[in-house]
Amino acid sequence: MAALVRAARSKLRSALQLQGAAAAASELSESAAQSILKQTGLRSLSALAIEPLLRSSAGARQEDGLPSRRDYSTEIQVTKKKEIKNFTLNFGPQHPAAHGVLRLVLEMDGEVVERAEPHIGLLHRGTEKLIEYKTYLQALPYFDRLDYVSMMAQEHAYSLAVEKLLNIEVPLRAQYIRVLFCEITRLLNHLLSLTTHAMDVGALTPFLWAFEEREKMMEFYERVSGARLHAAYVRPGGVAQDMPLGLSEDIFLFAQQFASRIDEIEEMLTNNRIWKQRLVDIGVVTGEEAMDWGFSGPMLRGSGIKWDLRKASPYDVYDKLEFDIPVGTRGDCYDRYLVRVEEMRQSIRMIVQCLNDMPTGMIKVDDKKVTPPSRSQMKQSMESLIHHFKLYTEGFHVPAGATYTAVEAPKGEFGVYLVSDGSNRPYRCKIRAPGFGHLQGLDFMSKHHMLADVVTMIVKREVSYQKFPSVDVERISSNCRKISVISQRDNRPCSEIESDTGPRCDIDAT
Amino acid sequence: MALSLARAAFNAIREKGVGGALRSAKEQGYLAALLDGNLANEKFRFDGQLIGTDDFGNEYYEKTTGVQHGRHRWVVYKDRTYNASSIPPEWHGWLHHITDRTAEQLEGLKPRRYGIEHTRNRTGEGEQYIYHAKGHALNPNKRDWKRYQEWIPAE
Amino acid sequence: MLRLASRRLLQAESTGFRWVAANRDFHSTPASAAPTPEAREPKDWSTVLDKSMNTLFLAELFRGMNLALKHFFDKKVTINYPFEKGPLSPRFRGEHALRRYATGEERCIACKLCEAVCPAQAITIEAEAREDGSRRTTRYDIDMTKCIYCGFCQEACPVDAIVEGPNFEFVTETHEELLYDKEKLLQNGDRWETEIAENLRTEGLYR
Repeated sequence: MAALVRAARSKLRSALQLQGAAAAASELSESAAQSILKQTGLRSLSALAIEPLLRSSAGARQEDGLPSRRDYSTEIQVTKKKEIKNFTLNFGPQHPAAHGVLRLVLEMDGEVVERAEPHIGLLHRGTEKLIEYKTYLQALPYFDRLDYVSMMAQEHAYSLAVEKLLNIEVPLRAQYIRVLFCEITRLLNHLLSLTTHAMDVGALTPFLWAFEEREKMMEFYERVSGARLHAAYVRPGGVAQDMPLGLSEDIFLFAQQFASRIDEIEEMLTNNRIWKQRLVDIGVVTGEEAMDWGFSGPMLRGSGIKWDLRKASPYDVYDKLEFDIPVGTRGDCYDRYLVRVEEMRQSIRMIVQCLNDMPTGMIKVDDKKVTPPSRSQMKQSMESLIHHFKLYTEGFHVPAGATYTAVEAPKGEFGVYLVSDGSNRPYRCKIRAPGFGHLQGLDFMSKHHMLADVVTMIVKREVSYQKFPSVDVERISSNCRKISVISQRDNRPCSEIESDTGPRCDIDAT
Repeated sequence: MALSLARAAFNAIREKGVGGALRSAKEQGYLAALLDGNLANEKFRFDGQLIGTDDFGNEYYEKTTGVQHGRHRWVVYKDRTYNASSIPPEWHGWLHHITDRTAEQLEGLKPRRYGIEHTRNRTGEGEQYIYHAKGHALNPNKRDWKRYQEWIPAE
Repeated sequence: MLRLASRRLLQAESTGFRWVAANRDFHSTPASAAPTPEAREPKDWSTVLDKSMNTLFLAELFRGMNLALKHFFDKKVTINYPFEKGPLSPRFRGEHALRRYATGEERCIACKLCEAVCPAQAITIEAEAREDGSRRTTRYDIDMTKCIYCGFCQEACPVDAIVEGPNFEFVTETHEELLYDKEKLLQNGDRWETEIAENLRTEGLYR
């Protein structure tokens, strides 16, 4: 009973405060509340709250015990005029479903998201500034750590940028190894992205299956580079070491069985009605919106835009490989899921082609001013020893110039805008992380969706795990894009052709 | 596993009697393994071939056929707490599938003149067990601090 | 890289660029955006029947559960860690060690290449001439909490003195235990030399 009285009182107080008559509440004693309860008998608590409210507001005029039925529409109107602010919810930076340390400020109307304000949260780590104080080789490990599920793709972008400034051609075998491991990286990333997404939506099983496959692929990483995650394997001028004997066969065996693993994951998800209820028509992005907001990768292709840097401006041996680019039709989360699944299948195709076509030969540029000599050379020839010492202390000097080089990382266009002043350290290194553009679009995508759908969208947007190297990525990259298109076409340093007018790029470059 | 376990138990009882079999089971840690699933998983694998034993008494087994991938080499620790870092380097590579060479085959690579005995990672077991860097108050060598240590060629 | 003009082009020809990613059968909700291929798809009685049977009998859910059940009875893939260990390669980059020559003389000649190349600046070296005139380090510290295990130090070392060994079970409870000095690193080398030498021998082909 006492609890009931307390509840009645607190409810009363809140109701009174709403009317702006807080003073009356303090006057209400325990006995008064009890008398109210007696009078109201079996009435519900809400009735209990409203009635004394009316009584006390009109209490001065009506002294005689029981309130009579009267027209109180005027009092109610007062409350209606009060504006109720939407509830603001902080989603992250420590929320378990906000992978990584992303922060969202969500303005909620009940359970419906009215506005989503993405913050980069704790993701800004000053990578770009740090890179300016490292030699070109030392800057490499930073790229592993930007997004720790697409390591080699990022190293690849950086290495390509440095090679473009150095104007060197990487040996064919190294190119094949790079592409092979970029596609393995894509599998790594998509498996994690898809299955953690499924986990957030409520399906744990595919996640466990995918991690078995990821384990195998991380063993390949480990065998080739010595680290399961942060490989530091793709280097400017080639790759660090040749692939060990037997690795190709194991990758081939893996690729053979992997297609059926995708089938299994698809069997669990693709037609599953719960999965479809959570994904179909959630977070729809039209093709135009996707382009306006600078989306790339599966986010762009899910919306029906046929754009993939591997086709549009092929780097390394992508022009020698045969593969298709899946494109969605509706731009919802479900299409993006299907696009990713299909991309994984295409990746297997590419992996097998790489294994079959890979020639023997060098794995580094035979220019000892750029790549270190082998250990036997270093121990036998004085010149090699000097090169070795120069490379590991001073590093190599890169001719002055600027380039924007982008690769199709699993999450989208990962670009490196590298400015060299001719010294051994980058003058400026601007990183275009794909997740940043995707994060910006979260507001329009999540509008009028339920809170639970935001989780779906976050994963599909692949802002998760993406460490944003700096805040103003989008602004710079829009400027740099022009340069990239030109330089990737003409293959000469951009500083020469910066005055060129606009990008000469048509959309149907594929 | 169940069959081989029953066979081993039957053999032990036939040889030593019930009391003797129980006593030897306790000595060899089989009774303790009953309470520890991880330990039991390895302790009751009787079908492995004993490849070798290291200086600490850890036993290394292998079974190449009819076994799940990645589980074909295993170690039975001497120590009941089964600390993973107590594997000495000559067996570490074999157990991690880095090499197929066992400790006997790697004998030639063992440093004769300066090699020291392997110790397990003893962090958290007390100040006296962990390594304190030079200059630390608990490093015994801090009194005879030398800038460098001269090299005395071993014999 | 899409210019405004080409965007309009795209909008005009949007259907031409669209491409069905995968079959989206029994997709029940009406299309929100442009009409999609399956919306225009003619429906005959057999598809209608198939779809309603699927919906009614939870067909796809049972298929999924069936698959999960199959995996339940499949061979396990987990290993029992401290007893069985995951595969590593000879290239594995784990705990650092300073090696010696067979005589017991330390290899490190204090060239400081590793210190110079270390991206995390985890290595600190001080050197001095020894009584016999050879140059040796008086201090060789690695802050293992700074180290990013990139392996540049072992690549840079001209005498194979500093290596990243195969050990990864060196966790500690305190920070100070991970501040390795020269003595600790040499101890590591003395302890792990058998395996380090074996790994370097295997890797000799690629280095």
